[in-house]
Amino acid sequence: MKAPKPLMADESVALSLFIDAMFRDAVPEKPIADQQVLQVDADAPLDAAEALGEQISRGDVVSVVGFVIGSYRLAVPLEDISGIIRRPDKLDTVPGLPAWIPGVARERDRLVRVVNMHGFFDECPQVEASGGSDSRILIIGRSVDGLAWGLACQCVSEVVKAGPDDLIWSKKNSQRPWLAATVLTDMSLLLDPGAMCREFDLRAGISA
Amino acid sequence: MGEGDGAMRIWSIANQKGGVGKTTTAVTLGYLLSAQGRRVLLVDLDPHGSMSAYFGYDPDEMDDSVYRLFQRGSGSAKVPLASLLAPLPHSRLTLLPASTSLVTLDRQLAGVDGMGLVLKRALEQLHGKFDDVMVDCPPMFGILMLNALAACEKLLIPVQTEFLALKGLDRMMNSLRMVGQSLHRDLPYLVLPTMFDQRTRASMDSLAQLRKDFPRNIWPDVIPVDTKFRDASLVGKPLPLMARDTHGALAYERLVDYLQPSRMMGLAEGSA
Repeated sequence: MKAPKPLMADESVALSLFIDAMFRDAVPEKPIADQQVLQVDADAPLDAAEALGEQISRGDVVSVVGFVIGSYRLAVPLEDISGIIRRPDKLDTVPGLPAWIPGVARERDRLVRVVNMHGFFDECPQVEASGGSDSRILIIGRSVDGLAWGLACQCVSEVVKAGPDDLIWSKKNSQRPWLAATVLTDMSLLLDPGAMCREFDLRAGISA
Repeated sequence: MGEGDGAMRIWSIANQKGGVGKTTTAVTLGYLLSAQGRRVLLVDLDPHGSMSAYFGYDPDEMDDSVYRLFQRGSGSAKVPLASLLAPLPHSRLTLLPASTSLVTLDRQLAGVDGMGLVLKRALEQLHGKFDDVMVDCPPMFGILMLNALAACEKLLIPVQTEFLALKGLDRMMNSLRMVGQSLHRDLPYLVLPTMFDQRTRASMDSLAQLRKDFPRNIWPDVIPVDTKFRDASLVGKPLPLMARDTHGALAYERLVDYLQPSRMMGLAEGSA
């Protein structure tokens, strides 16, 4: 009696056929279904990153200011910077603030709460303390209590123009709303100043 | 290995056994290379999205993920890969995240020719933008792992130093041989002994067996068991960033040093 024909190919043959097919140079258009997409509230206001993203997606070019903090290259939109001041040798210390806020600087008639970003990221809090003559403070916004927020940095680089192809935007519902995008031209991290200030307020326990 | 010193290098980290340290290896190596000034892209091909979750992205909620490359077929200019990338809070480190929907690819695409080359073609869009690409593979043989193997120039195979992991390695080597035959090229690979615990006989014996079986393709050092890896993943940071002087972080620093191009040139290719 003849043995029934097997339903399946030999294991190694099946694997070889599968692999060969996968590497065959033929690709159809749109072969698979849409994945489930997020339900987004159409009426929800855009956050700053989205608004900036929309501006750029229309083909606009934004100017960003790059700066260096330790091993980080960061950037903020030029229009969000309300001042760049030389970092004083000594900051006025304020008791009760987290270690990533080494103190307060004075700029004309306003007080600027200075942030050590490495400390904010839980790393190497000593980095900004030893900043050299190029050390600056970038003032990026205002706290809910009226003081300004400033980022201590080791040096400020030139203004860079960034267009739609130069930016990798953060995803919706990101755990880091203050991280707006990566600037591909120099791989710097573009901050959303508004969200950044809100995060500073929240983590420092500052309220109006 | 300084910034921009040559063409984009693509590494895949694969093993058909889970829990051997693939994601930890991809994250840690990627971070250390970026700390040297190299621009690094981390690609998460695992439907579990472990690497995406490591950095705070929820694979259940990602609408822009590597899945879209497969959705549109070839990853050609119609899908700008850059639009799928997600920034990370580390300079020069970027993520192509996974989504849970990747788990459906093997079922949806099993009969579609050419689907093993999607990632390779997509990454061609990024030449000049990144120096290194680290591809974290799922722990099973299928379309996603085939894409990783076809796309990469070098393969890293983390192997837990225990008996069952050695059995899993046999399967991986068999798969690698078959892929090499189909692609008509051999793939340099390096076995990385991981989770080594010198206090246990099982680790010592497994390491000895690995060195015997892969005399030319094994990293001569080991990644030790280190609970700090788990601590680092809990806070979403690469271990060398959180605790540079730990045994695990120092071991990966030695590995980065070992992965200089000149050393990898000498590796046997395709099979053990």
